[in-house]
Amino acid sequence: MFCREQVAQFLDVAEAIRARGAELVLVSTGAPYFAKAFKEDRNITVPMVTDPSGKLYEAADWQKGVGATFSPRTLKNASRAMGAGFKQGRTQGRPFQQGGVLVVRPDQSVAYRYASAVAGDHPDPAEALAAL
Amino acid sequence: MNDAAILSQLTVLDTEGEVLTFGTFWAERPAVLVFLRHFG
Repeated sequence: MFCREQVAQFLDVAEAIRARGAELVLVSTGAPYFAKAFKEDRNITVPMVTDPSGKLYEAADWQKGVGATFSPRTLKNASRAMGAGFKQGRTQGRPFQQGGVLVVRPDQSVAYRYASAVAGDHPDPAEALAAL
Repeated sequence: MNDAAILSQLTVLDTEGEVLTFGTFWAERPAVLVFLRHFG
């Protein structure tokens, strides 16, 4: 459910991201057919790519592990997400991998970096927008 | 080499399974890269 929540939050600012001359790209760990179904089901028009091997997530140094997935904070995050109407679907990807957000410029500088500490730990999309 | 430079050289798969170089997404304009946990 956290992925669905985070995608919805960032899609809400997709137009604002484009208006600032940038592109929103969604990345996940599932197989391409999962990405395709997810994209079509939600009529997502921004680019979506997958990293089934996990090498991208490793290189970005995002958190992973059972502790980051089943933390007490995760319960609070789950309550928030469910309260907003998001429901957990079947896990399609790496279940113990956490994510993050990067804002990267063409000169390879990183204008913003947020590493999710536990499942459901998402930054406010306005922070990424402010970095543009 | 910084994080973005390293990431730019790695490959990802699009929704059709085609291989893309990740760095193409910010080669010409900034990109907001949202790394999800998985689809679910």
